[in-house]
Amino acid sequence: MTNALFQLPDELVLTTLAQAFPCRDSQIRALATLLHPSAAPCRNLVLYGTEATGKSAITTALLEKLETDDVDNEGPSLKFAIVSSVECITSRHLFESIVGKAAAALSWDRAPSKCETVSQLAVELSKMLKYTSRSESFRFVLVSDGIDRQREAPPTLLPALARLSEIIPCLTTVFIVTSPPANFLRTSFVPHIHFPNYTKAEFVTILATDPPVALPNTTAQETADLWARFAAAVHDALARAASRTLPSVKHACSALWPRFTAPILAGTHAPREFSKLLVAARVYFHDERLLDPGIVALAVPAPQPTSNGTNPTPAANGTAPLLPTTPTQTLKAAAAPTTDLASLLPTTARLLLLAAYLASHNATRHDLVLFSTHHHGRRRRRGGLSVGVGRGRGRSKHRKIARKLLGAHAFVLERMMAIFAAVRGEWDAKFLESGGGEATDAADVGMAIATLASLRLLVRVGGAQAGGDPMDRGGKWRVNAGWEVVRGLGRSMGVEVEDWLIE
Amino acid sequence: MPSRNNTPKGIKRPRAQNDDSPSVPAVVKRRRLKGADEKSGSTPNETSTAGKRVVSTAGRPSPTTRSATKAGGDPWEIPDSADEATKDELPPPKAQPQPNKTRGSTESSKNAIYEVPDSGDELGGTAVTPRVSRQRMTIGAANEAKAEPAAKASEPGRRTRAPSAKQAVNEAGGTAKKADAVTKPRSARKQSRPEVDNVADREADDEVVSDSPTSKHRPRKAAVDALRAENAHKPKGILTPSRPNGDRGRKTVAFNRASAKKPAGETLEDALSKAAGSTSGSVKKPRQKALVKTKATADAEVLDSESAAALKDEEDKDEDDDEEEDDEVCAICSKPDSKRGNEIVFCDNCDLAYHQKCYDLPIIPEGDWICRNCSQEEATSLAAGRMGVGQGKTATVVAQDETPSIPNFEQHLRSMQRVLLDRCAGRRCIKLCGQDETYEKASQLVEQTITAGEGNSMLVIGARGCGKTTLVESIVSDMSKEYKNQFHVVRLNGFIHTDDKLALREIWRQLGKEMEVEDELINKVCTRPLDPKPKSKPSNWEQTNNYADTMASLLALLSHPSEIAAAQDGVTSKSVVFLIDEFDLFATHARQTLLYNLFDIAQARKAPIAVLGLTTRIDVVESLEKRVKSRFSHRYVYLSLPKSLPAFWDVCKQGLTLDEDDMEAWGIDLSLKGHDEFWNWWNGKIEALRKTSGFQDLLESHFCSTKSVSAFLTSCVLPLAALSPAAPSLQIPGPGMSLEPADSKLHVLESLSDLDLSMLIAAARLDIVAHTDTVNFAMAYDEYTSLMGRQRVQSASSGMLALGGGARVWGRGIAGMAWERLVTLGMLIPAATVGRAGAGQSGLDAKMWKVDVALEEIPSVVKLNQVLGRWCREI
Repeated sequence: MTNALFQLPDELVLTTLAQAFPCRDSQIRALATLLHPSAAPCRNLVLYGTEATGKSAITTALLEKLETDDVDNEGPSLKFAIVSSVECITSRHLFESIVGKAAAALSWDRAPSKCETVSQLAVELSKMLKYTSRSESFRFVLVSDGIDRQREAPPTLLPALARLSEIIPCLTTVFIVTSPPANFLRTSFVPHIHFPNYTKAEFVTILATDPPVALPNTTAQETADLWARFAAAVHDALARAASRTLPSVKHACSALWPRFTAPILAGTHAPREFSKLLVAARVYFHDERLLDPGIVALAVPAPQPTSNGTNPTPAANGTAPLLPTTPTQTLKAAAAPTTDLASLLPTTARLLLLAAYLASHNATRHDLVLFSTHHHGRRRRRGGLSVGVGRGRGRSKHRKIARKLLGAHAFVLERMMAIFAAVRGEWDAKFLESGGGEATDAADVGMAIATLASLRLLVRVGGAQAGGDPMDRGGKWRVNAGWEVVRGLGRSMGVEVEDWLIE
Repeated sequence: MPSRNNTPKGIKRPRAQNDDSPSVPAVVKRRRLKGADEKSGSTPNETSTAGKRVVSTAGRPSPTTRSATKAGGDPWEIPDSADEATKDELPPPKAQPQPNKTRGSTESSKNAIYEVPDSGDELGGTAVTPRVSRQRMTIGAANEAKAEPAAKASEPGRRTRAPSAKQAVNEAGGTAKKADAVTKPRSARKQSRPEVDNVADREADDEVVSDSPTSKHRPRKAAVDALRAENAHKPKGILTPSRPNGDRGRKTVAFNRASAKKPAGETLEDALSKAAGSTSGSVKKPRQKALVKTKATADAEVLDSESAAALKDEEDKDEDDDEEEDDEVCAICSKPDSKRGNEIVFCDNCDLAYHQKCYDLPIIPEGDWICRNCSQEEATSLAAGRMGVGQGKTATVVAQDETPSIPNFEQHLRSMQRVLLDRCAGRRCIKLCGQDETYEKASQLVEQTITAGEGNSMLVIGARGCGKTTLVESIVSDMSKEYKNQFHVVRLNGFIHTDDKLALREIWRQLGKEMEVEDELINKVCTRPLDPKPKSKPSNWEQTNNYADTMASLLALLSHPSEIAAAQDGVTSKSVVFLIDEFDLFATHARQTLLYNLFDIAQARKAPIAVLGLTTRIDVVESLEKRVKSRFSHRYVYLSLPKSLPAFWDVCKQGLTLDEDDMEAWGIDLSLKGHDEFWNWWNGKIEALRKTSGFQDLLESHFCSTKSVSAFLTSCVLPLAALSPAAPSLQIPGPGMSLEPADSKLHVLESLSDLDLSMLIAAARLDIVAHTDTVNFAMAYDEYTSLMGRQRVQSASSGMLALGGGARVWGRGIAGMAWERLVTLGMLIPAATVGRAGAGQSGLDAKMWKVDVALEEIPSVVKLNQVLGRWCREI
């Protein structure tokens, strides 16, 4: 210890890292200072910030650099193990992966097969690090990535991990978390390094490090400039507004770029005419699907007005993978009729589903008002009540929340059947024509219910515990279809479901 | 909007159908979405359109045509007199506009129904509204086109604000222009938007009256109507249910020509003299033109376009500006006035408005203008220039001050840094300050155990970071210096040894380690019963399993040899010191078995053990069971945090400097040349630093908030690490980043996008508005869309600016992603019970959440845009 001198990590390491991870210079420096064995290694360290801000990537890269960097000179040496909590199902799994990775990093051949508790973990790590003689300046860095997302973590897990470095002096424990509660390690003080989300300028800088290939008949410099401005525009239009993470910005940029540059390829605009390009591409900047790429594109009813007609050029050129514009849209058009619930279900099932929705979303006490024919000879429907009440009431101090927003309530099957019987005559033209034969449709109804249940559009409440016959009319059910679906379904039969809902 | 694209620019927008609808006060502004597209087209088109426009204006002579055009939705030109139009085409030199307009009384009466306020007369007659005062008078041959606000509005993409007064002005300008037209070639296209006082309006009106009957009254309402040309009728219902009456009444009253005219006439002279520079159109106009010209020629950066096109663009721009002025306020200064030379210009992309001066935009550019924000010009420079930043920063830091001339300076500095950083980073204990009494008490107790074989127990109580561990560790190290091999130390931690079984095993292991028992033996002890039968078995100890055996063996080991081996006086066993960290957690273990046994052993003097429990809970004894408590000695020591700032500094100082006697212990070479000089120099530095206000603030803030020494020391780490022989002066607080933890999870808000924030605010509003403590996605999204809807109505009716992306209503899918993000970030916490909806609610829509942030907290943490800010304020 006598001749140990303070020494900052190699500047070369830091600068190469800073180039690989732009806009994170201060974090990299602080982290290196607090991890490097000959700088100011601390016992515990917390890195926090929202997702996609470079916490794990930078830590990993830095530790790798420091490790290899130190191999040559005899002096301080550093080993590390990174354990990602999302990969560990239980806390025992976590402990065993810690031990396993630490043993691998230290080339330790006597790693135990079992490690169930923190205390065992502490013992095992002590065996590897404390009871084995190591050089004075040896440091071992244990990185717990996403430890706040650990499943089945006992409340003492984090404080216990933070105590490991008290037991083992040469250990540094790094916690990578999203948003640490105050004093969550239950220890006196732990340095925190904040990885803030990127600002617009930083987004642009990062994206500019990787410009796309130069467009035809423009120079690489022009393309790079255009790309930077384009990225900034994408940030303003999409990222800041709706999804401020680096991956989504990157994705949106790469998806929009071909369409944005289509006028250049077509020769209408020069790459310098950014404003014209921007105005020409305005519509694309409003495309939500850039941010929300569904697995199946069927649920998006919103037609993208111009994407097909306006510029066929990018498709023709095929320079880059286009976002689902042309191909998917045609696909969607083809797919829509077959996946639409309204066209898939038979009439009885649709009616039942509507009845179930009404049963779930109307209070029982309104049934009489809605479905009774007693007073008027005709059914009196409370048309538009929900609209009138919901919107027109004005903002009083405590607003009532629309019932339909609260989710589906359970109802007794019998009630649904009653509603079904009540509305059937009104909604189903054929039924009326046929004079409402009771005999024929009993099986039909039963099958429709079974169909809906098997599709999980109707869900039995209490399921297993309730037991009994699924056809038991006293059983409780809940509708499992959303408002949009039901409304569409209703319209497919000429029914405005909203008219039948009472707030 | 796309449908509007095709209309040639020069042509005015179709007048909205419901002219007679109550005017929404000029507030409504039309957005120009379309215009941008149009403009962006190739320049040649523009020239042609320009030409076209002139023609169209010419062709549209009479006001009567208006109604027809309205219905058709055609480009609706201001009905200027045919004469005017033709004149416009002539190249008139700039001339003073002659205020010679007459208004046809017939027309006025005709229009009166809806547009009343427009006429200058009215304005003159009625009290001047603030709005009016801002209006500009447009002069220029092209003004006719402009003159009708409605017409402007109709232009796709143009923003209209058509204040009534403005229209009148425009008309006046138009007529004036006619006169000019002869001399001025360009005037037709050029439109200036000087700001005109009411006076000016009046004057213009009066003069013009006779001249162009048709052009006189422009329905100011038209602007409103034009707002949505397609669905002109809808807005009426939604937007302006209540307003029409008041306005209308006023208008009709004001409209009385005869009465209004006179005052106007009277003030004419005044106006002329007064208005000299700014108000009178004639004066301004030439200036404006000149300006435009220079702009056209000089503006190199703008896309090159033919001069005609350029001119046309300017004109358009001017028109835009004219239309907008009324209600748009500058995004920077929030003032609505727009004067020549300092006009309000609008970005074609985001629709924000800026004053030329506020925005430092000396010349109104031609064609599309996109604000700097949208044009992203800084993006390229950013991308290019960013790399240099890191180096630049360090470079500036380095060049700071000179190295004192001390021999071996670097070596001194480095070794000092080593020691101080080790202390600051917590790798070496610092000395305990001001706790001598406590130390004395505790160490005496331990010493008694070691030397006299007493059994002792004691609790050390104090807040986190007050030095409990430091205390006991220094006792242990002091003792071990004195009595090297006469005792063992067992350290337990409540966080790590979460139940008694684990703790026992650990005790065994540590004792085995210390006593150099083989690992296998320990394992055997732990796993298989050992034979020796302990005599002192607690009475309540009935289990015979593994755990019990371990316990038994342990007790056997700890029990006094005399009890085990019966006799052998004079043999004292080695004493054991138990350090139990987080003592309170052991009190939560089942039946407190371990504590009971330890205390029992200590009290009964079966074996020489000392139990030191460390805890932060002052009431820990209350949590002990009665039988445990009765065996506890009830000896406590309390550690306190530094009581005063100087005391706090005394402790903290150890992180920044070293005492003489520490140096050797810490491995500093006292004999190295220059040692004394260096330390004198360094201590001087620290003293000086202590006096700086920044440092005092830091110290005080730590003292006042937590009194945490380690927090303060941690804040010294980076500055200490940044020292180098080239820059040996310490800067605290340093320029680098802080290692402080976040105050609360609210820091996350800064990372959120607008939509995330909108959803969060919507959910937080529901807490208050709907008086519910849990929300689900469906409720929040419903609130969000309704807020957004209201926002749109407001912005449409108040002329507020659309705030770029903030004005969009995002779809359910995207909002769902935002919602899930909030969940991930912990802003939303799952509600424990799903409530009356019952269990099994699943899916994004129905699952209930609690919002973990209060509505009023949001604006204090993150800078919100106007809209979101209002949502937070207005319930």
